[in-house]
Amino acid sequence: MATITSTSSRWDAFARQWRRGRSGYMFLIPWLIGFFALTLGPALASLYLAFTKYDILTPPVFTGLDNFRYMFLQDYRFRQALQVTFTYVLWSVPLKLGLALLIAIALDKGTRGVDLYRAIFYLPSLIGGSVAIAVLWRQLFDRDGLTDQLLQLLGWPPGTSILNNPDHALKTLIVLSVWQFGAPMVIFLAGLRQIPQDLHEAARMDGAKTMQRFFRITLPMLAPVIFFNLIMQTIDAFKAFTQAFVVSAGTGGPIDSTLFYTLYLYQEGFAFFRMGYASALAWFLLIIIAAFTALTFLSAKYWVHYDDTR
Amino acid sequence: MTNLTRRSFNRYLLASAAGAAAFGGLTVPAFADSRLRFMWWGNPTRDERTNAVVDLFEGNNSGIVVDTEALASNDYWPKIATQAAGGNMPDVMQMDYRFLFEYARRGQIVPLDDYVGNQIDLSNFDPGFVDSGRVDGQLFGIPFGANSPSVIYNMAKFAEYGVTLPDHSWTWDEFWDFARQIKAVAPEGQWAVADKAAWEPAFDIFLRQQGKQLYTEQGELGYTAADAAEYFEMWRQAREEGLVPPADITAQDSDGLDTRPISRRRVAIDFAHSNHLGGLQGQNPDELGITLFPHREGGVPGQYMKCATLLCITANSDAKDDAAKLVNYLLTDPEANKILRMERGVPGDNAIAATLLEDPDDIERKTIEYFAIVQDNVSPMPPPPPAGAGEVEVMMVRLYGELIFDRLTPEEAGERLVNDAQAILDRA
Repeated sequence: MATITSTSSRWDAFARQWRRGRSGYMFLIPWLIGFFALTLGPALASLYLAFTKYDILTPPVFTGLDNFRYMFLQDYRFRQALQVTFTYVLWSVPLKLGLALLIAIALDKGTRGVDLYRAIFYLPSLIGGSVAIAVLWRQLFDRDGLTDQLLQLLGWPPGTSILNNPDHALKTLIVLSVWQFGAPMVIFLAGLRQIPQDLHEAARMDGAKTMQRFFRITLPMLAPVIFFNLIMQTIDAFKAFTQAFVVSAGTGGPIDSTLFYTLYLYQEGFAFFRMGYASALAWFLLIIIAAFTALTFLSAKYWVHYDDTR
Repeated sequence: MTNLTRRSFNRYLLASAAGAAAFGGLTVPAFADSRLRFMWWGNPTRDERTNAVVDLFEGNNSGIVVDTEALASNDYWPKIATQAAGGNMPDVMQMDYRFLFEYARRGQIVPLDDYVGNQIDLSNFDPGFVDSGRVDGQLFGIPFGANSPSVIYNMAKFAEYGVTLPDHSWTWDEFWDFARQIKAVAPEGQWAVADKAAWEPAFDIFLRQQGKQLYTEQGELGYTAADAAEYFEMWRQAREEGLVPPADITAQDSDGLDTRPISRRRVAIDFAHSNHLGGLQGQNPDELGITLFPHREGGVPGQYMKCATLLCITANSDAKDDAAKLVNYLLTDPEANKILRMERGVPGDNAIAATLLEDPDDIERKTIEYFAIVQDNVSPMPPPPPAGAGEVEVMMVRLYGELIFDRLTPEEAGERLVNDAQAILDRA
């Protein structure tokens, strides 16, 4: 009798949960269909291919851990790709989020024409990922480009090509990424609107300065939004591809200074026909991204507080 | 990599619109007995001409419909490989000598011997030239045209600088001396010679002039670290003297027609395959000329004629007879070749070549004159490159980048080239 009660109550709990989440699952359906019908099969296939030598033209040959052994022990381009990608993520994400937050706070003041500014600041995010912008970026930073001419006005020798200098090429791509701060900015703006004004007023009554209010009220109240943005932007940054592909004409050059992980993966798979190795690279990227996301989640309990905890 | 300029794109649009208007309604039948797919890599001129010829072919062969697809070469090979994996390759494909052996030995393309004398008529071809499409004795690809690596130069710049191009028997020393003459009078931001050291044919020719080669018959490396170091050192000196542009300009050159230093009007002398003379001329308002690579003092001829591209029929084609008809039409039909002309190199069909010689345009006249002198200065075609050779070529470009950005000395670069190339070949 007891077991039956517990089973039925568990069933009730599930039914209750389902009723509450029903609309959520409905919204998920298009994604779920896409995932199960289109993504899951190839993803599983690539998991198998990661343990094979597969040149596309002939059937894959199982090679055990050979791909991973080569990856970790011998492949210096893999190490270079990791270094470039980590540098890119560690610089571009904090800078982008910082700028997005700064602009969001400035726009939150409710000055006239805020909607217009918001649209203008969002614009780079709409067009920034496109090939056209990457081509434009090339022109900007090339020899005889706009930056070259500006630097000449400041007294630099002519013919400075930042983009074709292996010491600086990655920086231009970080700037290109930071410039596309629109999406996190919009989310920050929404988050800022959620912060009750009476908190600020009470603090002001107690004599808190602007900076104090920012660090004691705005930041903690915004933590869940920062958390969300941090995770989304980190994942995005690890997956960066288009800009590096276009700016370096697919080479990751000059001399591999913009060899993003995804670009290297693409070269291995589609230029050198090592689809097995490329699959191994892809799965290792998944592990890296999962690890970073897990770390962010684990750290969350120290700095992210939700005021709606029931 | 894109060779597409807005001008040529517009021209292409106009031409295809005109072509569609002229032939579209007439040649595409309501039902087709067989449907062929034909893919090539190319440039706007090639695409325009080839599409026009395919339209003519359809007009002459009711019942056959040909779907064409033209890509940039960087995009072409990934797509072909993916289609090969999926078993849906095009019926007829343009092939590069580099990949001929890999595709043939993996059974992705079929031997054409049975079609020769039936659908395909090679009676006007030099047998030796046809043989460059043979793999293990069987004919897997038919050469579409001949070319040879060459020196391309800007005639207007020479006139402006008041210098005279030496005779084509020039040695490397004479070549660099000529570069010094140019450098002495060239304005700032202009250099004498493009730094194409990382262009594999240039290295290949340099090796062959001393009786060595990139790869041996057995598919092993045909040179030592010291050979590579000597070559890199020659270019390092040129860079130090300011005869070739600095590293950042060289790094911009992704070997597309529009990114080469001569097209960007940085240099007076560049290096390219001879069939690109027309394409490069299209990028340049100044008149271009073409001549031989410099020779090695006391060396042997290093240049060779090669088939620029080949035509192949794939194993998964289910209309191979019709595909062979299309191949034959492209290679041997006089009307077709009046449109194709020499864009893929000098045609292998001697009768066609002779017809084109009757009224050559400027580029063709130069190409023919160039071929006349090349023919007396060639050594045999090299053996087919081993699997992984394509990756070695890419690796060399990267490695040379490290050299010009002063991360490596010529000696270190020579060592690295040999080691990394060996590692790639071992892994392939």
